[in-house]
Amino acid sequence: MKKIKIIGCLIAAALLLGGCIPSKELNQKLIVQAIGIDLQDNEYMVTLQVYFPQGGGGQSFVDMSKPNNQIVQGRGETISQAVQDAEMSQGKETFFGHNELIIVGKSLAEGGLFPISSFLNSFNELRPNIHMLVAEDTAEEIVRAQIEGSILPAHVLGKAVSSGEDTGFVTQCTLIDVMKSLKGDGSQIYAPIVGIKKDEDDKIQATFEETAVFQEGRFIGGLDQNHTRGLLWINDQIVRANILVEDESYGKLSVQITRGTTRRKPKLEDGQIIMEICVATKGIINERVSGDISPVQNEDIERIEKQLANTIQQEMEETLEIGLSQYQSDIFNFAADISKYQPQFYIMHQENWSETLPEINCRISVDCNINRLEIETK
Amino acid sequence: MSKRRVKMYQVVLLLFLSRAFTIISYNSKQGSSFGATTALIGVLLGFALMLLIFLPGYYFIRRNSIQGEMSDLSMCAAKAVGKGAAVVDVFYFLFFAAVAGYTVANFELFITTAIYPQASHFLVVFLLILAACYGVFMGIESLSRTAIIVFAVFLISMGFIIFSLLPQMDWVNLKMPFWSGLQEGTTALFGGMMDSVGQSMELAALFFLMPHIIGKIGKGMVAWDAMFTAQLILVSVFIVGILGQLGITQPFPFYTLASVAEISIFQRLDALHVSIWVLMGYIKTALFIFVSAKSLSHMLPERGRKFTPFIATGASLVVSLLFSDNIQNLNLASTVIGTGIPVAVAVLVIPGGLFLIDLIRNRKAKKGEARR
Repeated sequence: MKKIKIIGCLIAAALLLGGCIPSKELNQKLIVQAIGIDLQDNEYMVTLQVYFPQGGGGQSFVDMSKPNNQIVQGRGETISQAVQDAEMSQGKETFFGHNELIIVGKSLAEGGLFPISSFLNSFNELRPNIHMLVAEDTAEEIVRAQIEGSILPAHVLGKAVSSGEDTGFVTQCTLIDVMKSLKGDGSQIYAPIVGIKKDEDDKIQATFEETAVFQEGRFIGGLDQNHTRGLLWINDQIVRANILVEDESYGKLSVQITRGTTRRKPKLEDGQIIMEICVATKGIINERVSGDISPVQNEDIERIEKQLANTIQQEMEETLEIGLSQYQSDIFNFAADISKYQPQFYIMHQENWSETLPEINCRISVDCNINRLEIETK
Repeated sequence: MSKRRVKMYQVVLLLFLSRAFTIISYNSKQGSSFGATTALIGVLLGFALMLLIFLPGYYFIRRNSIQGEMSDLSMCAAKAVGKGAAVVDVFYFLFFAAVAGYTVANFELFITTAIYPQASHFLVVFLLILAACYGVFMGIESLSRTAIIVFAVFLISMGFIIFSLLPQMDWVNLKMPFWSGLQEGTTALFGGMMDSVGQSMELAALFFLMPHIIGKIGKGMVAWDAMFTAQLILVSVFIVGILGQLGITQPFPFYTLASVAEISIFQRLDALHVSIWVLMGYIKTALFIFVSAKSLSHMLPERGRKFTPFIATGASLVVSLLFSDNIQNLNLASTVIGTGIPVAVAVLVIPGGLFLIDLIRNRKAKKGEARR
């Protein structure tokens, strides 16, 4: 009898308490895949790319030949108000749990990210490791672009950014990186600049030709692809890269970097900081562009390794010059290394850190090891 | 409440999960410092301090217990101060009920901040308290068995989260101790000690669990102290290593870490974290309502003792409703707890005071006998 009473209570609780927390069906939600934020006429304009499956005529729920997304926009004095405005236009509630990207318009980035940092940090549905991109022009243009390659354009962009570090030409910037910088840990933000172009078949593609450099949360300039790779070398973020080396005997060689490690250590010499940067890489000679089909000889490998090292070193030196002297922006996060290994120097210069950056000298050493020559018949 | 007995390792796991709940629910807006390298040294000092402050109460109970059958603090207080022990009972009843209520309020704060802001505050509080009341009603044995299962799940989930976060560790964020100067370093050191000791209400709970324990209590206490110190250091290292300065400003830094962790097909492990965290919240709430009921049972006659779990549950519910949905009250309570005063009073001042009274009375009795 007692067991029956307990089971009865449990069933009653399950039936009654199940409806206590409001719920919404999936088709009453806007499942956001990408958010674009622009600042226009002192108002925030939020452009949302939401999942909107469009099935084919038959049994398929999703038709790959159709866009499968919908663009929703809203305006407001704050981003939350703009999102609410977007919700009202559709009569649905937004859900950001599957959001992959935040794209910030160029004018907003130039004005500074501090005004939107509260939204980025406080909003509970946004995952801290989603990517942030800077649009070449407006974020609306990027979010609206129907980029081909997947069910949703946002997926294509997300994959392009995620795999970008593999190529060495596209950086990754997550919300955590942005918030760390805005909270004043010494590092400065750098994020990929995304643009769109049409190919010969009139299909829209995303382009990542530059990296945005920020200073105190404001976009101040860009790095081209080679300097972006230099930045990734310095920050030990190279996973793979394909580097072109010009050799006097073999012409143009394509070397695939299979492994790269960068170690940094600041030293104090005569009151000046010397940042020692040591790069160790392993690579494979992928391809040789020349009329000669004879294989690369073992005795020539050392020379090619030196040329490769020089190429990498040059990219790094140019990037350091641009970052430290031209932009005076600590995109290399030297503040972290110096505060750890030379804390007294950092404490003395913490208040005017950006002015101290041009005085940092860097000593770069690159060690390349080409241990494979690919498959090539002799 | 009948006296059932459990093994020491089960109690260690129970107390560990209770303490671990506080570690992974840490709210930077309520705490003093968390995770700076210097603070980790403070945590290690806190390990030693915990052992020291535990000793007076432990020896007091041992002196007043029969061989092979430990009493609890309240029973020993009755021997030392007679009817004055009622004050001790009332204090610990309210203290443990307040801890349970504070736990539930923190649970509700996290749920309605990070997970589901639209959730009903009362419902979240009421449901957890109700579940904990059922756990208390089932007794210490079932609670301890639950703790074993939850501990296994906890180990697996922590393993997943730690393993997936390792590639993202930036060791450069872990700076040398006292790197920012002696003054700031000392503040961080003290903060670390307070994070370790100030939140360890479980020490007081152990004084009331002793009659239920089979095994060596001293060794068990050291094991518990070492386990949660290790966990506190591990969590701190990861928060600092991955979030850096941001960890201090995030409301729930460990939840942020779990959101960032991804492994294989699991794009985010925060769901795993939340599920284990709910179980740990249940364990902690049930534990403190249990010991609160135990304190109350010493004041009531035999007939009334079966109602003590419900009275203790009611008291915890009242406290939790005072703190939940009222961030100012909750922050005030956190500030008070952060000073370490509640733990100092519950673990050192009262048991230590009783120990001294007991020593003095015994000496007087011996002198009296010697004169005769």
